[in-house]
Amino acid sequence: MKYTLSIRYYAGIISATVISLFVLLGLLTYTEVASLQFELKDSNRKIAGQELQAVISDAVHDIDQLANEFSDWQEVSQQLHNPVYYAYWHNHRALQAGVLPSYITDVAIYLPDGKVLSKLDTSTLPTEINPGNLSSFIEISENKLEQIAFSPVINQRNETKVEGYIAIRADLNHELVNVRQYNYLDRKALKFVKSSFAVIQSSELIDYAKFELRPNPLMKEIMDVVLDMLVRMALVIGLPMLLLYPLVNKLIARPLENISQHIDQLNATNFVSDQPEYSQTLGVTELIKVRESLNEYHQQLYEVHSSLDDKNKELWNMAHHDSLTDAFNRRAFDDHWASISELFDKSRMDICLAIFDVNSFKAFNDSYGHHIGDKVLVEISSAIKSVLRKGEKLYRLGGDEFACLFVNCDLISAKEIARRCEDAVTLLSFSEIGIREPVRISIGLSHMGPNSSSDLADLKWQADIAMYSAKQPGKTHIAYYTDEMKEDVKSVFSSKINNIVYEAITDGLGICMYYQPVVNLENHQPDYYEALLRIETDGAIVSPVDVFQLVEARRLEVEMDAAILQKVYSDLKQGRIPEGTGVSINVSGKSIVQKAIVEQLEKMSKLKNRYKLVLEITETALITQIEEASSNLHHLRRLGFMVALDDFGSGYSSVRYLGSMPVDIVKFDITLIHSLQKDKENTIVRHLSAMISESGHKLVAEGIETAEMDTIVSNLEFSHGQGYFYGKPSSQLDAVKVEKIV
Amino acid sequence: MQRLRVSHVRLTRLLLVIALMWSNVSNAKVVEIPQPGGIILTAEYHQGDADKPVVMLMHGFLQTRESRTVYKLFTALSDAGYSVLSPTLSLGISTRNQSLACEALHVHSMQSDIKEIDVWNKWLTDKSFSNIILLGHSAGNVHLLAYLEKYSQKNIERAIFISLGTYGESSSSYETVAEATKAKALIENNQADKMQSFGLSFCKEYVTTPVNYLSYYEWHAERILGVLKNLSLPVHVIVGSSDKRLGGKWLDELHDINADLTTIEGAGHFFDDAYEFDLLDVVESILSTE
Repeated sequence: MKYTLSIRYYAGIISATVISLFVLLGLLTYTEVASLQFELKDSNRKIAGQELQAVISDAVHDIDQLANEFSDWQEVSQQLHNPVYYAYWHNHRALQAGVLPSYITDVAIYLPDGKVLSKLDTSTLPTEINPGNLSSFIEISENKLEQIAFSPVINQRNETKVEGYIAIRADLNHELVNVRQYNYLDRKALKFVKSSFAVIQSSELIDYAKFELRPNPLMKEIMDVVLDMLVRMALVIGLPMLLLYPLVNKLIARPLENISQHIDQLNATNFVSDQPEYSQTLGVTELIKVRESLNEYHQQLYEVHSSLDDKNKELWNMAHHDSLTDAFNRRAFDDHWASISELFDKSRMDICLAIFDVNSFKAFNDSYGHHIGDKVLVEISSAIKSVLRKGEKLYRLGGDEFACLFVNCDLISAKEIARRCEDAVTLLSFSEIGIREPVRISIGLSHMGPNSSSDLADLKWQADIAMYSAKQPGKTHIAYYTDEMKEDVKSVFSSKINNIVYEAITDGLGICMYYQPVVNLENHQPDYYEALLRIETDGAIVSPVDVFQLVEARRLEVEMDAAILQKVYSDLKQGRIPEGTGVSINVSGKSIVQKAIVEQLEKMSKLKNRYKLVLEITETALITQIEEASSNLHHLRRLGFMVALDDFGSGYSSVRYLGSMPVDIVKFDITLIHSLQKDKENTIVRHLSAMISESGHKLVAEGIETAEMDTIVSNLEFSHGQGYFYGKPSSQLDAVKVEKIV
Repeated sequence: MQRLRVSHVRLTRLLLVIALMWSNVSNAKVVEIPQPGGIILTAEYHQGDADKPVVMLMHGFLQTRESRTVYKLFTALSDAGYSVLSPTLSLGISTRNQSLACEALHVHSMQSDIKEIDVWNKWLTDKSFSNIILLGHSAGNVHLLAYLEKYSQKNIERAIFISLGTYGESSSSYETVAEATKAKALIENNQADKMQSFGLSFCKEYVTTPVNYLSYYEWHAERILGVLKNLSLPVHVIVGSSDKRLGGKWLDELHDINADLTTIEGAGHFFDDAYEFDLLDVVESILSTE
């Protein structure tokens, strides 16, 4: 639902609605009954008027009838025959005899001619009447309402004979107000109002009547019943509705709120173990069930939560620890880094990042197997952790790379810790697992102080650069990042160069092979060409130093060699290299042991009939992976490749190894060739070249830049020469200049 | 004295009641005799068998011939074959057919009443009846006695007085000596014609003139007994043993003058209910005797 309300609001709304409807119904009912009452009253008033008219008619008629009856009274006849005692009879007998009712206030007897039998002072009736008009009439005044009725006195023996007449005066007001019964009008309120005396006919009397209706008992009863019904309904409906709100509030809403608050507390307390169960007394069975379910659910939830907590801890440990070395892993490092970054943003402090890398670890892995490499990592991790201070954690970032963050630690302290780490690793002995070479680590340090304006993220690449620096031969194994260091290895960390190299590797973009001739010193003709990698972008050649620095730093030798092989093969197929000559390709020690590279070379070997194919391998590559490399090289030699040992004499060249290597050509490093110009070293190189040549190897002298050098090497055992004197590397073979030829 | 023991509710009498519904009353007629002054006298007359005497009935004080006791006698005797004349005293009212209230103006007197009886006697004489039997009830007996006292008795065969009472002071009536004294005083003060209220018989307020009042009052027990003793015709008196209007001494006094007195046990003044049949039996018994 879009809108939700508390149940007490619903209860309140229901209560208010029902009560309102009830009040409305009550008012409507009351109004209906009141309207009916009004209509009935109006109707009753008409009926009362008709009733009064009828009662007046009856009363007038009755008085007329009384007059008739009175005229039949034999004492009246007696008075007509013997009026001697008329006065006495009038005053003492006529009204007291019981013949006439009490509201007849006067009587009179008239002779047949209409004259009163005897004029009496006490009589209120006319002294003479008109026998021709015996209609009764009414006298009305402010205080009186009287009817005067007449009747002839008929001879009993001869009904046609009128013996005389009588008149009676009746208190009509008394009769109408006090005697007559009414169903509709209130007799007590009945009045006949006329300010002055008047004589009227009975039919006119209604015009002077003022009356009120009798209370209608039926209507009153109906109203009482309606009111009683409304009161009962109010009791039956209203009171429960009034009670509904507090009841719902007490029995449902408040307990639900308490349960809700209890649940909120449970949420807020994050399911602590000692959270009490909800135990409040409840008056509704369903709520008790809810409470029981809640407590049961809470218990189950707590158990699940506890189990999950344990699992989470376990998972967290699994997720944040390196299973091999028990150091924290890359995820833990990232989390720690995020929290440190947040902390650093709020409060600047001394922070140092140390990155550890095992020197030549790849070689250990390749030489002794991964299980040995793993043991090396375990030992090194343990050694480093043993010298870290409390609270400092060692993270394995991947492979043989470890890191450690030093918070509130200045550079001096960080260097000291790094030195302890290096010492600890140096003291390790791996002879038990068959490693005879010393195992060393390189440590790159970067530091950011409280006043540093750099971003904390810079620490990472700074430590990387420092590590790269530390890895460089002849450098200390602990390096602290400086801005100068950044210039030296900028290619490694240049995003532009990175992009160029990666595009060249993945898509071959920009790869433009340069070829430098290797000439036969006998005829100074190019025997074959050494393929040299150049990457062109935006019409310019990227510095080969930067490229190889990045390839080496990023360990992209195999990928890059694959791209070069692809390009050279393409150039051969396109005939860019003159047939009958050959091509010499530099292959890294890492690549020569790669199956994919071997397969590329196998493919290229099919061109052996058209081209001389030479593989140039560095001495270091052969030493580190000598067995696999030798196997592959033997295989490739059988396919037609010649193997040239490149840069011989630049490092720790071992003649012992040379004998066991499948090498056809030995390329003396430029440093050895240049040493020919010095007498003392000249002798060694001469003998060395003679010895290697005698062992069956072809010798190539590198770095021949002058005719003098050409002459020197031509006089020795070198069969080939290479250098600017013979030709610079070029993408256009036509431009290759061969000084000797010229 | 003949005493009859009355049995109640006899089937034969019930049958008689039924028979009365088809009685010879239907043959009766109203006789009117105008009087000087405009008063018209009325009587109901039944022509009976020629061999039977005529009976003239006289109703009680202020009653009419329609009073129950008299009417029953009229019908019974008519059925028995008697000629019956039952007049209604006018009491000053022409063709009076209503009982006159005590409080009405009574302009009549004993003299005017017996004069009317005489009119009817003459009417019967004119009808050739010479053997008239007078049969009165209650105060009607007094009127008959007053008539017998004043007028000739030659055509009167006998007289039967039922529930014969008296005027004058008694325990069962309102007239007192004091009332009489008052009336006399008024007369002496020349107010003989002044209407006054007196106590008379069962009327506490009997409105009449002193003279008229005394005309009735003077017919006290002693006077009646005197008249009875002096009558030369057979006289029969019938009373009910439970008649409260008759004082205990009155019956004794009747005994004392050797009146032919028949007492019907249990009957009251008007011989209501079944006693009317006993009364009729007695009357017929008397009439049937020579």
